Amino acid sequence: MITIAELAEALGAEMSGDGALEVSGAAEPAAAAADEIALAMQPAFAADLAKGRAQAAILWPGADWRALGLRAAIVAPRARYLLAGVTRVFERAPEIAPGIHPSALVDPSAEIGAGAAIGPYVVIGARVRIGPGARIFSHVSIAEDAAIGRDALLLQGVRIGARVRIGDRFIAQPGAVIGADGFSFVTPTPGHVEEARASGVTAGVITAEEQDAYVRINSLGAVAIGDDVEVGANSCIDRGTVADTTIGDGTKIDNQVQIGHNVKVGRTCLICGQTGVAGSTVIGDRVVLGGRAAIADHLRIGSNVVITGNTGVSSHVPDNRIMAGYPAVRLDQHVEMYKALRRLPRLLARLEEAAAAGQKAVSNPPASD
Amino acid sequence: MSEAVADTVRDKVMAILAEQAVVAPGDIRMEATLGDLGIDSLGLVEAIFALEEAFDIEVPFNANDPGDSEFDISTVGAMVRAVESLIAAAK
Repeated sequence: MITIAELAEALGAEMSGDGALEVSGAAEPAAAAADEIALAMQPAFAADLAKGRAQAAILWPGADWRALGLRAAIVAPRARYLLAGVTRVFERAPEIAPGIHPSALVDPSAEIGAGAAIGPYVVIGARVRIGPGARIFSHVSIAEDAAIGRDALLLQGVRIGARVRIGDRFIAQPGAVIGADGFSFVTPTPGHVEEARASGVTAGVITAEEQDAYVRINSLGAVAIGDDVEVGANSCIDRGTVADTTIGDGTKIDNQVQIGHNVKVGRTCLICGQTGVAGSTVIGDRVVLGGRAAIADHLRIGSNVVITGNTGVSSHVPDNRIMAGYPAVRLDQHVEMYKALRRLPRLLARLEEAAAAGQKAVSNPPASD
Repeated sequence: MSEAVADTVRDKVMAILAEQAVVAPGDIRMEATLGDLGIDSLGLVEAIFALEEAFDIEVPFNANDPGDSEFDISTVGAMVRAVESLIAAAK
């Protein structure tokens, strides 16, 4: 239990009413129990407060908590930011026993920092180094020479490949794979892809009838990840060919994201679900890649760029651009293009009308001519 | 514009906005804003195209900043009047 006054202090927010009122958790307004604080950060939730039993709520600025029948309230000037604090206060951390589970296989040469909790069936390879405070859940495997900073949280089934280096406070959701081999193959003579690239946008067919078999290019590099990075469930970050694939500090990656070999992602980027970044592309800082964005290989994406959901990027993007569509263009251009496309059928109808009227005029010249 | 035509324009505009808002046309009030109806900027763009197609007009709007357009989108009623004047101008 936490009092409203304590909660407000933890959140760094203003409170009114009975600060001694205790709450055990947070809930949506309509579903809140009497000992829960209702999250009603927008006026739209006012009606729901009456349906629930909360005596306290987090409210939008200017809300009249007394009129809403509450005993106490905390004001949220920036609702979602405050929500982050609320979820920290009421977090239900995943349960893990301290120490190393007897079924875990930890190589004797591995260095595990103080305070680690390592779950069942975890496999930790030779010379792995893990900082203090790690929580490593069941079935995680960490291959030889990988190094992970302090306070890592690796959820069930995470795979960390050999020689991968990761900073502090890393979070990996279940099934994330860091350091699989890059998808990199070559033919002894120039192949279809090279021909397609060389012909640019002019050719639509491949002229060569045969192609030699693909020869594997091994991945000698690893993956280097900064501090405060999170990787979502079943996302994959491939290792580099020679140098490392890199992810900058503070970058957050959603579920089912594919980051190809040699890619360099900057700091505090946000990469949403099902996004794919092909090999050797360099992404700046604070870039947002919307869901299912597809970024081709060997491109430069500037800093502060926003790629909207489902956009396909096939050329370089300068700093500070918002891009949409396939092939990706500036959002304002994209909307203008869409506008023109939507108006096209009526424009064609008018053209046809005009053409029909013109033909009529030619075949039936006025009597005065 | 005759009263009957005006009714049709209003009903059609309301039907188009209702479709975008996914509510019954009867639930659309003339003083409602697009925000009240839960129509966001892309929903508005779709609604404007539907208006263009339904009335065979060209709506002067800035899709990237619809609030900055000549076309008044402040309320449902304002949009009905704006469509009426575009129809009148097209004749």
